[in-house]
Amino acid sequence: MSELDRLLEEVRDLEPEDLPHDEVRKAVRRAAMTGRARHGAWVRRRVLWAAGTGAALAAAAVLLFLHAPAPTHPAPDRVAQGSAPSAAPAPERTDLELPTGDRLLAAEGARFRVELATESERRIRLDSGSMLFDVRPLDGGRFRVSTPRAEVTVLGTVFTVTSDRDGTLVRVYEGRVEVRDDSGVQEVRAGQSARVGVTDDPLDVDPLATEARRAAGRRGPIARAPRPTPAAEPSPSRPARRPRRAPSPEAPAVDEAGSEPAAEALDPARPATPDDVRGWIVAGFAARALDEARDHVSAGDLDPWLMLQADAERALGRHVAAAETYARAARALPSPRAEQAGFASARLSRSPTLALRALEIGRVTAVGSPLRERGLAMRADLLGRLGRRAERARTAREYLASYPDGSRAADMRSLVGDSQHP
Amino acid sequence: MTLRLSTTPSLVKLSPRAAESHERDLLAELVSRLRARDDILIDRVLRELFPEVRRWMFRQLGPRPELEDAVQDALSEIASALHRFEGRSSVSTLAHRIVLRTSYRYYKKAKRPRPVQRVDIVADDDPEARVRARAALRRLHTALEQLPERRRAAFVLCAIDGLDPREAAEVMGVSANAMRSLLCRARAQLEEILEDDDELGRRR
Repeated sequence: MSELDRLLEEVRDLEPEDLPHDEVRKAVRRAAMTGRARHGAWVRRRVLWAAGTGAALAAAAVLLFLHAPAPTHPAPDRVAQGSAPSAAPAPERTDLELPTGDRLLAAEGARFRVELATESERRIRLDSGSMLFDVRPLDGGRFRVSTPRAEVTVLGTVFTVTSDRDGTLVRVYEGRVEVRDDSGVQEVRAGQSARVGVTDDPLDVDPLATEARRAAGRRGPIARAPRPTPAAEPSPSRPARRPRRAPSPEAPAVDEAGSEPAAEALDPARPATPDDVRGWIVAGFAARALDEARDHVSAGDLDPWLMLQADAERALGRHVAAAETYARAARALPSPRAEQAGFASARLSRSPTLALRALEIGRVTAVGSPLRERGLAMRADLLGRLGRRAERARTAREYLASYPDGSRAADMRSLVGDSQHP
Repeated sequence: MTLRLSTTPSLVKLSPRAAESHERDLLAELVSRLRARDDILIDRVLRELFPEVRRWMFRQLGPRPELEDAVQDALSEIASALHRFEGRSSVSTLAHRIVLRTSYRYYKKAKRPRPVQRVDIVADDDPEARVRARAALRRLHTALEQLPERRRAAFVLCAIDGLDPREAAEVMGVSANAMRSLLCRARAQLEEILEDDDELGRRR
């Protein structure tokens, strides 16, 4: 018999010890919940893919249609690059779909041209008049609308721009855009508008408001659901986070009374907040939450992302990984999160030695720690499991000195007595 | 119909290649209820699979601290896959395939140093036999870690899980000939590694 066969003979019947019934039940429940969320994300990805394909086909059909007679406006695939003058004003409303799937609706009299329409960049020049932009999620690409007075950069949204010689008015119905003028950049969110320069248009009269609301409403079922981007569970690529800049005082963003608020709107390019990520974990999108938290952590943004990473790992049932991440958080974060992280790490550690180390790293049992009482009780239990009875009794005495009426006081008293009869 | 499925002792072994037609009918019913997201049935299937998944993962990864994490990951993926299960194989084969795929991810993770932690295993009551079994397990997995992942997976499926090469080929999604080739190479490489193994040298 070879050495390999001998080893195989010895290990063939080895099995891991059974887990307690309760742990099995929890693991199955977690798996069922995560499985449902992942399947939901998979379905949404498929729907989006089908919708994208449909939109591309529709765009091709529109382009073919626009090719036939001489159009009033340049079709996107035939637009000259560079700074050629805008087309003549549209005699009537013009609805265009770019090959990239974005929809443009120009109000009567608008003068515009599509300068560039590729996946990575779409550039529209609007010299005068009003236009609606229903922008497909960008996947890292850029969508810019320039007017004589401003430049609007989009991150997947529905908005209108009204422009004339003296000013530009941007109204956002869903998602958010950045408006840049000579004085700087400002961010305009759904339900807000921004004015650059002087325009004749009153804020509450948007010639394209109905269409814009309808377009935002079409995106609503996806956009308003409090969940992460469908394409991102798991997320192969997400747009980079953008730095925020203070709004320009010359062109303040204002709440627009007449517009439909798009609260909870999901903009795929909007950076997720810690609250978003907490919500994802609760809603079962822990894998997506983990991706997001990891991105922040690897960029050096530890507080509170390290805790969120650990929370997501715990929600996914990766307890060893979560215990390690909590321990890292206990080292890196300030009080009281360090204590919370140390305690959580100790609870998840399968080894009593590692659990004790986690309590120590997080200074959980230090005077002033919000978790001191529970930390001391846990420490006493762990020392007992390791057979370190003298230290356990010392910890029990420490507990009793601080919490004579604590919830574990009776247990601790018995431990003090026990240590005297080894 | 529902009654028949609820009284079937094992759902995960129902196979489309079963000789008996009623078993194939039961599988068809299982598929339709899983795809209709019958949560109670999904829960039952996951519970039935849990010990198997844990055993397969343990054999693929060996005694290492991330075992439970890997089991949970695999179980979550299985739960997700059950919603679109088509019944072209048994649930058990699907689950085994997912376990294998998940274990590949953990092979890669194992390359960075991790704190040593004990995984409890069921072995002989004799403490000496227990220690020997642990040592053997550690040694075998140290050798297995030096194999490419597919070779390693193929070897574990056949030599430890006890699958025949045809079943193992189905789990791995390769042809029977490819499986035989993987096995031959894995065995030759393992023999070589163990030959050079320090411990063996000392014993001689």
